[in-house]
Amino acid sequence: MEPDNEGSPLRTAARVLGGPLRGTEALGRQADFYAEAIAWVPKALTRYKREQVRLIAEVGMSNGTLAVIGGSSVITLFITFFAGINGGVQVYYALQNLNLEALAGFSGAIIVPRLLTPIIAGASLAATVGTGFTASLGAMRISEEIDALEVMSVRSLPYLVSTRVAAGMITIIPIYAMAMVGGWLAWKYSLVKFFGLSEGTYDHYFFTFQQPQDVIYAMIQSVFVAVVVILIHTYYGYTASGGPVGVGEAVGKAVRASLVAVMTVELLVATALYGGAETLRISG
Amino acid sequence: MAPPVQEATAPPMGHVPNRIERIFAPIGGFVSMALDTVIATFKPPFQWREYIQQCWFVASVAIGPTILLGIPFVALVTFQFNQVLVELGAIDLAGAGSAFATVSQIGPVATTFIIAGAVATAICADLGARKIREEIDAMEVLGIDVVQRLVVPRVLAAATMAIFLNALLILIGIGGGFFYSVYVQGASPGVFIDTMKLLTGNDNLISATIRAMVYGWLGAMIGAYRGLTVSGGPKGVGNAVNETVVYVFMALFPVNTLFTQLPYVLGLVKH
Repeated sequence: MEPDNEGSPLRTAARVLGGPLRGTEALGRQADFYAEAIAWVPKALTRYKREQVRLIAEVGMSNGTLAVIGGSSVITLFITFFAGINGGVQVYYALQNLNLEALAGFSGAIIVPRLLTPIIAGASLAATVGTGFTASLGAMRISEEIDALEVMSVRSLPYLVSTRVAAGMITIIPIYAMAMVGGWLAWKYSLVKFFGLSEGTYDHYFFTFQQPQDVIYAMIQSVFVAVVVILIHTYYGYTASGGPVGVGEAVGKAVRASLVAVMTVELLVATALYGGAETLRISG
Repeated sequence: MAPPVQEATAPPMGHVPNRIERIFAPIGGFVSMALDTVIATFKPPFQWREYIQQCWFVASVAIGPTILLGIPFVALVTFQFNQVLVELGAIDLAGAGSAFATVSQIGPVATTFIIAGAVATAICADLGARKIREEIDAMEVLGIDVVQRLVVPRVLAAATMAIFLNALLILIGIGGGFFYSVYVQGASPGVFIDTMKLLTGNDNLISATIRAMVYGWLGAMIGAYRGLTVSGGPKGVGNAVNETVVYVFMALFPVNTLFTQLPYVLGLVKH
């Protein structure tokens, strides 16, 4: 900052009043970026096939140190498994208070697809895939690889961002399926094996109340979440600045923004899908 | 003075680590640094100034995301739970469900999200930046114990602030649950308040507070370890923050399972 900025009251006023304006401008830039990235997705799918396939593999299996422990799909399975055990047991204690242990199967059938899987799969996608994208795109920006792409007259936004959005949309489906299976198995076996709940009772109430449409709805939720998460993370990576330190800060900012976005999108999509007509049938 | 922080990512020359070593070497490095931190915590002098500054830092990065994440999270859970209750004709139990879900799970799980996404990443990015700028090496050259000077205040600050973040989330949870149940889904406000105590008691609250504290400590510890072992250029710092989020999630979900069960098994929590 130049020191003469401090003195002039007009400039001070411009700086103070400019704050919200600059914020709006940043929002507008983000919206512009997102619109352009989504508009390019169909062309990116046909034009950059090789890059697209490589990215799908990278999203599913991760790279670097995370690939050693099994990649994003195994990490998601691991997290949902423990979340499932935890939820199952906690609900079991609550039901035991009311002498309704038998309904544990019912709780698994409802809670796993409606709450546990979308939230955990979304957060886990943000943590593993999203932050990875911010880190790699940020590093590309800092080491001027993105500028090099532009110099070679490759449009960097479709080549780097739209392909990643498409890869996220495709790979969220198996990741989501693993999360759902992990959650259900953990929910059931923690209760059956450790708390001695009858397996037949569990299955009976589970299959009575489990609704196939919930599985589809949860998948729709997950795809929406995947698109939003990847867009946010690629934006922060694509616009990173300030050397190695800037990349680290961009990753942190992106995670904070995307975790908030995951919850907001989940809520909006859930209200849209489940809020209308009766989606839950228990009596009659 | 303590030995310098082990760089688990740099193996001895000429030795290519196999898969097992690549998984377990960082775990060993982490455990050794965590033990160093525990010992350094009780070694005077305690860095009060740094501790208070870090408390402020953690609060400043975490409060915004906590509020913004807490509201939709709570609305989502309350909405789905009340769908069931409405169908059963038991919307009067909304208060019991809201209080139970918030205190026992939403508070600690959302705290986990905040610790992983906001606190641990910020600590990792901060320490990673210092490592890249060789400030950490300079401190070690000057004979300053990095663990005592930088890590202890950070993990204690994160543990302290996790208690408040958990409390904030519970407040948002019960307030939001009340608002959503009463104004959107037609529960009775008096009955909501009355049934809140049905499934939840002080013991659940104390258990949730202790859990939040442990998660804050552990998450910050992972962030600090990964920040201090960062190497490579821009990609290295980005990857370190990425791995921090993943490791914190992977550590905190099993730990949450353990710490949820423990008080029940020991009979400390009756509800």
